[in-house]
Amino acid sequence: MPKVLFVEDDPDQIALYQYAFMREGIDLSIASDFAQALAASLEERPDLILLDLLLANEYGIDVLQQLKRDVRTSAIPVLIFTNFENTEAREKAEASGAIDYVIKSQVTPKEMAERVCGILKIEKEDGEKNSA
Amino acid sequence: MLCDSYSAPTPQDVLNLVYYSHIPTMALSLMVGIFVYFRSGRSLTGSLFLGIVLSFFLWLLCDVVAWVVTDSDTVMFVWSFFGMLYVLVSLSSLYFVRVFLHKKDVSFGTKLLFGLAALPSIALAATPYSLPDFNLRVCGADENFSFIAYYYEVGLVASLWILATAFRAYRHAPRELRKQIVFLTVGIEFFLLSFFLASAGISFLIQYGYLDNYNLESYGLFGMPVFLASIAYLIVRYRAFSIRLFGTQALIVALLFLSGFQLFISQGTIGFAVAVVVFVLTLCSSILLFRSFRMESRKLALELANRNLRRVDRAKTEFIDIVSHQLRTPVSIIKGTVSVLLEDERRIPSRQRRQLLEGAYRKTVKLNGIVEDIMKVARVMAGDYRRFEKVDAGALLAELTQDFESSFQEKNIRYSLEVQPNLPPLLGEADALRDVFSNLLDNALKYTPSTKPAHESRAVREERGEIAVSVGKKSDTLLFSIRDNGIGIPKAELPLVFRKFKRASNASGAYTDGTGLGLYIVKEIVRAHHGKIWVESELGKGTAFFVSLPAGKRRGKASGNSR
Repeated sequence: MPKVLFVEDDPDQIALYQYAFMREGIDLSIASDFAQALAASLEERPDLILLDLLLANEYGIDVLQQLKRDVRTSAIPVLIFTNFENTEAREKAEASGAIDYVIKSQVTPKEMAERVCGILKIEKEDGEKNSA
Repeated sequence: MLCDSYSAPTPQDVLNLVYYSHIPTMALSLMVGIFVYFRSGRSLTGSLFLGIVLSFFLWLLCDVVAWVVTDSDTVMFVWSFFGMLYVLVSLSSLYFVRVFLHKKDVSFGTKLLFGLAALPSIALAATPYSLPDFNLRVCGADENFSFIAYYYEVGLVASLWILATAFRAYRHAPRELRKQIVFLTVGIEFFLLSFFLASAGISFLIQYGYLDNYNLESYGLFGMPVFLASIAYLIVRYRAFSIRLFGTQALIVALLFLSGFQLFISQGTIGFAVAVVVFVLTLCSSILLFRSFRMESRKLALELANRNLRRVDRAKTEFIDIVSHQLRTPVSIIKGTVSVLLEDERRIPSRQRRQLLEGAYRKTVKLNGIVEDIMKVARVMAGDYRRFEKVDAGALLAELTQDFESSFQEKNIRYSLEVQPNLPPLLGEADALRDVFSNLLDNALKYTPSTKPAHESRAVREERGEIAVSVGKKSDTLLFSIRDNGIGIPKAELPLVFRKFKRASNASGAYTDGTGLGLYIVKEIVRAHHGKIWVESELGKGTAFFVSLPAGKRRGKASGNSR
């Protein structure tokens, strides 16, 4: 079962996505702040991280950069999944190594779960090719 | 009596220096004082500043007369005022600084103290009857030493008091105000120092043989209009364009005044002709200078306006970025929930379906709150509060208590309301005032964690939460306090809490469901009602918000509820 780390602090959002991802056969673990997100990405070795950019007064780009700097986590694909959007944030996310930038209100949980499945499938195939 | 044995009449070069140092200083200072007085809407600060300037102006006038006139009776007449004016300049500077920094008049006791400090300057003024000696050699009065020592001491105490007041204000001031405090203190202290050197310090040193040149007095005066102008600059709140233009006008007028004055004191036909030519040339160059400066100033004003527009544009973009984030968050959950229910309606277990629906409902309520807050922000930004009526503060708070009662019970919070009897009514918009106290109560409720683990707030506390609201009369205002024993606000973040979208860094652990606009709206409504709001807090112990609103007159019927 693929493991996805969902960096999110809204309990209603968490409940919704836990249900939708479970339906698609994805194990969704939660980190409700950035410190937890860094710790969980080291301990749980998720297959993908869904990272929000605004949690309380913190800014997620810094976390993304830390994840990409650390050799132990740099290979984990990070998808920015947020309701915050501006050109600067998009450019920074892309430059820092995020694989995509998705606005939460523009997708349904099912669409998102399917997209994540697709990404994980490609990642898996790439991994197999590289090891072969 | 004439200074018959005035052995060395003041030489012309010394007199010229006196004219040059005193007359433009008088003209400039007076113009700055009058400008500030009218520009500040004849406020107390403006009046006190004019007080400093007028005392200084009179002192300069007396000094010119004392230098120029050789009639000992006239010299003696103006001499009587030196001590008084010195004390007046020092005390009015102190009074001005205290009002400027504390934004309110000083207490009656302080005024009494100022009056008592000034009294000896009148009682002991140098008159022909109280004078130990009159120095005919220099045609000047020899004042009693203890009298001189007294008015120097008043100046010294005023100067030190100003420093202490400024130091205390600086320590408690937010960063953006600190620059102003330093600017004001440096300006006024240099003003007093130059005044001391010009008025007393040099004379003192000459009297005791440390210096032998009275001309030095005049040099001290040159810097004074600069210090006065810099303080004036501060009072009109960095309105750089107007004050620069005004400064140029003042300088030109002073220059014309001086060269015009030369027409009257020039001697001989050639001297007079030279003075006329100088005056005409000064007049022409002044007009040219003024015109070119006015053009430059207009250009500068345009540039400033452009810069301001860009800043406003940036702020608007930032506002839209954050507001769209705030709106999208509930929308994404409502949309997500509905889509999940539509796709999987029959397969979702009923308990989970209920959980999702409750989440969607909470977010609908939140969305509604955000839209309401945005509408309120639009209103406070337009400053559209004019439908004032008399509002009964006690009734308003009692109604709000009823509205919040179930929330207090739900979080097991002990609530108390204390209303001083016979309060005068408030003058304001009842709905807007309701928003103020409703927001503050809501805030106290959010950040005072529950003792119940099941409550939606994530933090749970052991000791019972308490919220205490009180209102009482304080001079011409009603003072409200809303205290809680919640999580508190870090000290460094206290000045930021009233800004848009600012939430204390420790707030998210307890609650994240606010829009970040509530306290901004509260502050703006209080401001539109000519009131003040401030906050005191200790991390982990609680927070107290204070609102002070002007009280209306008691006659007529006050409404507590306009709903």
